[in-house]
Amino acid sequence: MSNASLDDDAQLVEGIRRRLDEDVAGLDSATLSRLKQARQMALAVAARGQHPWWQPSRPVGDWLVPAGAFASVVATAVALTLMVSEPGNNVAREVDDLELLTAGEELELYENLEFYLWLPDREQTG
Amino acid sequence: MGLRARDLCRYATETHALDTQALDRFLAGVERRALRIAEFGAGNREDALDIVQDAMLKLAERYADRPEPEWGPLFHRILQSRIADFHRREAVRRRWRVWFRGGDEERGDPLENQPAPAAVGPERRSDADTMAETLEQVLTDLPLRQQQAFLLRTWEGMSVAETAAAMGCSEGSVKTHLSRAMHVLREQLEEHRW
Repeated sequence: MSNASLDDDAQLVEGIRRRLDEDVAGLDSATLSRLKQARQMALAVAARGQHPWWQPSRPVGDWLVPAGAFASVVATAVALTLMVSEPGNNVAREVDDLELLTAGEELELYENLEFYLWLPDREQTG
Repeated sequence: MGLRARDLCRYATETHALDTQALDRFLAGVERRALRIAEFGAGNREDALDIVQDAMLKLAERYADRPEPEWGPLFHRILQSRIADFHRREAVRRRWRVWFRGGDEERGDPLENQPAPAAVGPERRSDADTMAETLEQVLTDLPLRQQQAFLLRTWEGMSVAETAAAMGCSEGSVKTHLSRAMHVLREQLEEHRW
């Protein structure tokens, strides 16, 4: 990529960031009120100090049924996707959907494990 | 010299109070951008507000006692996961609709049917409004992974590693998604004389 292209991209990105910053600075009062309510609910939950981070909120066995059901839904959806997709559809979005459908991020354990695996790398690099 | 139980109790209470204030500051600092990121992902403000609230509650419930520097990556990990969950549910719903109805009228982008988050009134729009609307549309139309990579890297200012952790993918994937997003943005926004 040439320097001119990099400069153009930097300008473009800067322009987009400025627009987005202006956008959030001008959010309406009703939306800000909803955000404040959400924050206060979160703070109330934190103040109750519900679960130590090293203890799961539910026994591992409780995840098996929803995880199995989720896997079945994903398998069905993937099968349907393959059956009903036709050439000429928005390919990028189809691929995106498939990636999301098969990601299986619903499992909290996986979510946490990945983060804790990432943290030591982050500390080493910076 | 050991601390007495009363001192320990007071110390624990003060520490918790400090953490709650810090959490308040953290959430207040990220909530607006988080809302817009969720809004680009979900395509409408109502669902975006639910997603942000869910992410805040999850962070508070599970990770409020984690060190403060970890809240940012954790919050974005949760937020992106919730946005992806939303898309996953929408994709499944879309497949079922296509399956049962034969799919003719439902083949397009489901977000096209959502109300525009920043609906423009009947009054004459300025150039700035038009440009903002164009940007909104282009970002909303990006495939979710490209959208996530772009917003986290360029707007949130996260590193490639942090973005990869938030998105739950490899650093290589982040670079690929970002490159594709930049290509689309360059093309689409130049068309509109951005």
